[in-house]
Amino acid sequence: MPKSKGNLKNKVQWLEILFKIAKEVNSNLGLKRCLKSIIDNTVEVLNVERSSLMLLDKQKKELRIEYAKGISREVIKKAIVKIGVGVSGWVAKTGKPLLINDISKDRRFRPREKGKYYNQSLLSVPLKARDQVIGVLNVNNKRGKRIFTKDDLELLSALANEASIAVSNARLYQELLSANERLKELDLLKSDFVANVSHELGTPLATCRYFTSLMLKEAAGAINKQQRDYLQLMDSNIERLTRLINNLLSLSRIEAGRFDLKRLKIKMADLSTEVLRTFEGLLLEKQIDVENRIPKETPDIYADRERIIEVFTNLIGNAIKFSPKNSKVLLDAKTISKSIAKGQERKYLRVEVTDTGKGIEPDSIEKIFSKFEQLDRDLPQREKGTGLGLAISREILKLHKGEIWAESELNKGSSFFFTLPIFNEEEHFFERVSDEINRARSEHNSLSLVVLAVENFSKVKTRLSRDEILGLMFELEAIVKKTVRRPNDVVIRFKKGEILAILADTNKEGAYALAGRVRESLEKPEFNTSSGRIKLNFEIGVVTYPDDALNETELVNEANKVLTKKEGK
Amino acid sequence: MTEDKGNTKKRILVVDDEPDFLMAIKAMLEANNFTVLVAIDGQEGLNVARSEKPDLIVLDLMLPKMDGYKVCRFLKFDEKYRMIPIIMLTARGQNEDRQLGKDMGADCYIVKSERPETLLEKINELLK
Repeated sequence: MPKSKGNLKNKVQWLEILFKIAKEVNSNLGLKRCLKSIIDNTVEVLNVERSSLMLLDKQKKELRIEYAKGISREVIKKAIVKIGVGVSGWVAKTGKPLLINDISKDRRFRPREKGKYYNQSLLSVPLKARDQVIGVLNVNNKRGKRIFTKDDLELLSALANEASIAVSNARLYQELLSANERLKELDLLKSDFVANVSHELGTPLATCRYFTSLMLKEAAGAINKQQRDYLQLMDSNIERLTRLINNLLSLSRIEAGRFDLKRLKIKMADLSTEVLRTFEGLLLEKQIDVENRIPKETPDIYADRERIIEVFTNLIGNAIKFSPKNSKVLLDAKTISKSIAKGQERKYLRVEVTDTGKGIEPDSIEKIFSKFEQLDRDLPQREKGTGLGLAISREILKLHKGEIWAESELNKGSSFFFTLPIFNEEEHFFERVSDEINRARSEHNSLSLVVLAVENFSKVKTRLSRDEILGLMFELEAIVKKTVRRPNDVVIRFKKGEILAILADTNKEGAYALAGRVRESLEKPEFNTSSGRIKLNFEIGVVTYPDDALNETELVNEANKVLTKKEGK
Repeated sequence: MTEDKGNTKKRILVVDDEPDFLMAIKAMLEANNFTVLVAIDGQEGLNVARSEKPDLIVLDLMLPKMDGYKVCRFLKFDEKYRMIPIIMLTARGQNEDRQLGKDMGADCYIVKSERPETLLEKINELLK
């Protein structure tokens, strides 16, 4: 305890230093800088020539110098202290601080070389985390040949405490990072697994379906009525199994958060006819008349074609399933406006599927969108659904920033509606960037756009056929994809000869590295076309959130700057 | 196509690495009066397509040695084979498959699990 004024002044200074260090430890300075600050302050405030901070390697049971002052680099590199050996080893072993007035008289230790310490007083304290020793903080050669005091010990212990916190924090952070890496790897494995399963199951099922169909058509000889019935049962069960697998795959993807949409321009009328064709047999069997009023030309919708087909299949399938024989199903689509914020309106395409079935109880109308909620309990087994269709459809629409809902009147029928926002190409690209930037923001990640533009695209375009341009762009996309190695990150824009890769979780450095690799792979481009070899000039740019832009508008503007640079030339 | 006999039969090349499925699709096509050529990997598919010049090709996506896209690209960007219609067939409509298939010049894209009639319809449509 301080007794004199001088001591009190010292104490105040110490507290100030400790406070400063504590602040540094809790900020994001990084371990090296924290330890440097701790050692620098230790040297100054304890008035010593040397200080070293050693960390314990638990497996090897040895200490190594992590940071030191007043000790040559070679010594720092070479110094390895076994637990239990020497002063530091003793502290590491016992977990107790050590204050020695005169080491030459201490029988426990003998300095290995004469003259190692010109002052015989030493002070060492352990670094502890959760009661375990993780290292040792040493000071020696106190200036003026003075002896270390109890106050010195107290202060050094406090400093060691801060160092322990800094080291533990850094280690925890490192562990967190590697745990996160492992999770990402697992996630990838899972999605690979899902993709593989879908491929592995698809072909055997298709094989069964083809043979069943052949036998039903008597391509392998005449069949009797019973055989026909059995084969028909096989066929409808194959159909059911196919649906079930598709649904389970969709759901597992949604739940893993890996349901990446591939938004492309789609035409609703084409999708509806495509889906209706798959129900032809069933429609004929139940004598259901479908009135498809969806106009041939609807505004452009950027949506994931396969996913919207899935929604349509679920809705039309349900409509047919719950409609009595000889009834009618209606399809329609209209453009509607909805206000999304004050004074802001957005246009949507609203698609409708209406049946004339028995309707849904008002209590059940929300429930039907939950997982495994089935209204077809009384239907025969083979007509039963998976109880997943509407839940999946709702998720799909949510991802598209659309909605799905039902209206129904008992004994008259039900209408299912879904909406999809109407975007043009620019808005669509903006949406994608916006999705990604929100994700980056919530996960404290960076987001980069790599813009690859064919500088002389307008010239190249005049020399090639449409097919060749598509082929060329595909080739370029493939190069970018190969470099990026994350196929879902890539967005392509054909029209002006540019490819934009949206790279989630990638900082500027990473994006530049990728851009560099893309440029390298483009150095010897083999673009052989009907009009000979074509030379392409590229412009590659990188823009990053949060470095260059803080929101989607800025980011897209920055990306456009790269593109206009190209056009300006 | 019932009146077609002998040499007037249309020739279809099917490329798929699953022998059972190959047999199924061959039987189905033969039952519908087509002559069927088969290949079990991408390289063989490309070779047969070049040497035999079939009237149409049904091409699986995931193939050993050379994937379906590549086979498609080689044929569609070659003046001599460009006119042969190609139907891309795959296990499931994975997201980008369809677009990629189209970009590579495939005339149509069908998921294996669709009814066999869908494939037949497409074939007849493309052979018109």
